[in-house]
Amino acid sequence: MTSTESSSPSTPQSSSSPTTTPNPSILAHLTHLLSPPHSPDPHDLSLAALAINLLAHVVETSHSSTIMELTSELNSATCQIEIAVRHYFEKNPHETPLSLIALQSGCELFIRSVTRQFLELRDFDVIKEKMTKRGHSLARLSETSRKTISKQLQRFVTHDCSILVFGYSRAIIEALVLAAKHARFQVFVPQCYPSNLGTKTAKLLLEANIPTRVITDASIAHYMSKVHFMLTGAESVVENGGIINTVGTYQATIVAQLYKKPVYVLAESFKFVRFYPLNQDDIDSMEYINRVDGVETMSKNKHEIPTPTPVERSSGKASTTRKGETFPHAHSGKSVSGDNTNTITVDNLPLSQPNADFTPPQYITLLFTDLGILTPSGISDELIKLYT
Amino acid sequence: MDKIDDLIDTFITDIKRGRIQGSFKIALTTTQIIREIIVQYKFEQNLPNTQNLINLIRNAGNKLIESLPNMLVIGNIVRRILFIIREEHVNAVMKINRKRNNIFIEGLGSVVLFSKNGYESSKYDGKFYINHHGECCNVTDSNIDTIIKTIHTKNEDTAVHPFRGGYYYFSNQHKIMELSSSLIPKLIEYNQTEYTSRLDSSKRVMSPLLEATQDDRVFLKMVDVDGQFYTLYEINERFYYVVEEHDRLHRHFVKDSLKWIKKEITSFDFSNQQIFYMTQKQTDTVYHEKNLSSNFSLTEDVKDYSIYTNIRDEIFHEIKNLVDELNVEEGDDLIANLDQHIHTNEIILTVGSSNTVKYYLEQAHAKKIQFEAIVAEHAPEHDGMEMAEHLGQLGIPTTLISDAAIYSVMSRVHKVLIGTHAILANGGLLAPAGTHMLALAAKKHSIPVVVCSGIYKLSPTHPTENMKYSTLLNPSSVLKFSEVYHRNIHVYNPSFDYVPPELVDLFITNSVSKMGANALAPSYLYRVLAELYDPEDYWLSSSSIKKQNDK
Repeated sequence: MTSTESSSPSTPQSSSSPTTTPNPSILAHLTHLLSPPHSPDPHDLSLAALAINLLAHVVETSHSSTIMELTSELNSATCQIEIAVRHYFEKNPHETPLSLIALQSGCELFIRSVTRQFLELRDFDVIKEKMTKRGHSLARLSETSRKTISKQLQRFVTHDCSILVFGYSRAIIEALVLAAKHARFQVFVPQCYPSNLGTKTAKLLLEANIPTRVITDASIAHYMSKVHFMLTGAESVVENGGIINTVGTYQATIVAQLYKKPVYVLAESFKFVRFYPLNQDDIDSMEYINRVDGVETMSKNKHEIPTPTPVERSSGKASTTRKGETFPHAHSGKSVSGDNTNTITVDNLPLSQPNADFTPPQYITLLFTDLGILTPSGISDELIKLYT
Repeated sequence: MDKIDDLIDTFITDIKRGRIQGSFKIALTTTQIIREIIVQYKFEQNLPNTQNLINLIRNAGNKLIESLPNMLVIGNIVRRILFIIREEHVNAVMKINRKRNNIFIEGLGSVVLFSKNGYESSKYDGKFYINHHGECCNVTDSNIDTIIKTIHTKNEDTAVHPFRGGYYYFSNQHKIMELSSSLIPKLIEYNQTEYTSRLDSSKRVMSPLLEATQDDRVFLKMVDVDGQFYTLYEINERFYYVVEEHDRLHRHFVKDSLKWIKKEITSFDFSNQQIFYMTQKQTDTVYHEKNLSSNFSLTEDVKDYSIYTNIRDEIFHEIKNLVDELNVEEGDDLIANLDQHIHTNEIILTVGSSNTVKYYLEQAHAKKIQFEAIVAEHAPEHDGMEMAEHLGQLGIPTTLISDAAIYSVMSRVHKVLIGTHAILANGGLLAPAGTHMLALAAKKHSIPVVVCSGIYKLSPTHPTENMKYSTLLNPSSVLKFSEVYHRNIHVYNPSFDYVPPELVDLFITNSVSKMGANALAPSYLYRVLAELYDPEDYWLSSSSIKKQNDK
């Protein structure tokens, strides 16, 4: 079983080798799930829900006849899913998600919560059928979780408050749209270059008639004194209460802490992952490859917001510092000169633009989840409850 | 309900007029009001209908909270009582389900569970089934379906069991044969282990005779369709039937079973025997009844109580525990590790006069710990003076300082000990005005800030941006009206301060029974919240959001 190959408990399960071909049936189903009309917008994609759907599919098409066999099949499928997802995003780089840790949390959640539920039944086919159904309903859980979270945030949004919203999170948008019904407030949204997730958020908030202003990433500190609190979503919530989110979140929370502004994180419970990163290197972030369509909305007024220079990706070899990486990484430790391992450039200058960063728990004030409003210290308790 | 509304209105006006002051008194009165609601509530027999009660209490709680948003302790008490009710409801339903939907057919050491609606349980390792001839046959996978069919074709009165209630102890695993005296201890032992563990230590199953002396002779144990246990004892050649005082008795069951006993148990000569039965309370007096062959009549003392109505008693019992917990000064929990917190020759700074801190320092002095106290006077109430006097009278070397001097003496202080009005869910405090400055001064000098409070002050609310937690008190204590010369001078006298959790180092509370420890870190409070309150009760009212924005 390839799952035994994880090098240490704190790193996510890495695939055994970069050249393993993905399981064809998983890849086929993955493509099916990711192509329209299932998910038109890749950034709306919930990796955890994707993982759960894939595993439910594995259960459906499995030929095993005992729970033991099924569980081992699911465990190996977890690794296969990661390989398949990487493979898929290699082919479609403009849809790259922030990081693949959410896959792990979704898989773990499925394996633990679903497989343990039906152990008393005797008929194995019935068990499989129930598991598949439960898996699909678990994947749809994201919507109901968001409603609970929106409701919890209402008390914190009051008249005449200013909010700094970082990144793109459907939970935040839902919560603020609901809050706009009873309060008058304004929002500042950093642009989040180069992924432009901030502009996406701003567009949606403006559609809901919430006064919003896009600001540049460099001016976060400039505006921090004017806001009352900072809101952000999370790609994953890790064991110590920290979060993994769009790059720039960490920076913004440091500034917020300096100005003593509360930082509120909105995250659904299926994003909780049993993972304990110690620094930025541990989170295995992908390099951001430019999305062409996100630029369009800003090109109208070139003076206000500069268009991002298109980034080239030359055909270099994969970096060898990280085991199993299929994406090229421009590592800070790597030498710049003539090595040809730095494969992302701008104007022929070596460029490093990671996709995601890790925010330690001391910068976060509260996490709003469907399990309740938690302080970062309460997360590990909830995680343990979720996974056992 | 009118009486309740009157009580609530009087309570609100009393607090607003200052007739009831202090969290403790407010908490106590809230408990009394809620208790009154429960007293007046009609619990339906045989049916758990606590949801209506919960809604009633929520409405009353909402009314109180909306008129008095600063008094977080009211919300705490309402939530605590709702938690108690929910817990007791679950316990009661579990008992009912166990006793009503399942009937037991049992052989020695194994149980077969059948529910009225058919076979649901997986625990069918039980071996025996008694048919209406009193014969026994083994239950296996293959014949279980036929057995269930047989059971279901019996008429409605008997429900499921062929013998109209009851199961029997078997000797030799088949029929009731003579119960030799060597078997009796085994039966007693079986009763003690099997039943009490399954029935959730509900001691009512164990009869007092059995508990008191273990070599009493259990002749027969029976259970009727409702799961009601009856034990027939043979003591000194007399038979005793023991029932619980509040338990239900089926007249039919008693009649029929005794007839059956007489018929089946041929090893005993019942003809001139008499059956006595008594309630648990009256084990000394015995009600003499007619002999077996004739009809039984029940005394009036054994009433037809339903198992369920006891939920009211359970709730009141728990509320009494809650009230005992509110009396922080009368329990041992708060001062459990006192010598670990206050050491000899320490200098302790406190501000104003908090009853809990007063009690804590009193006890420290009583334990012969020699320490010094510095008390800040806490203008404008100047209750620090009263505290200093009290401590001085006890014999503790005390220094009284003005609030302005706090920063300058801080370097000489070993710890700061304060009370609080409320503890918020993130570990922050709602404390008397001036505490935030004190905490900042302590942080600057790296002096630990220890908060001494009852755990009933912990509220599941988080502090929000606009939280209107601080009322304005009478400004004349700051500046008398006669001394005001200009209209442009505004005088504010806020009552409370918000102290963020980073400035608090430790909470000393009376939470030993709940959490196993009385000293808690601010980051640990989420656990205490989970023990005290149910998440469904966190938001008692949704309309307060609108109110908060309309103000």
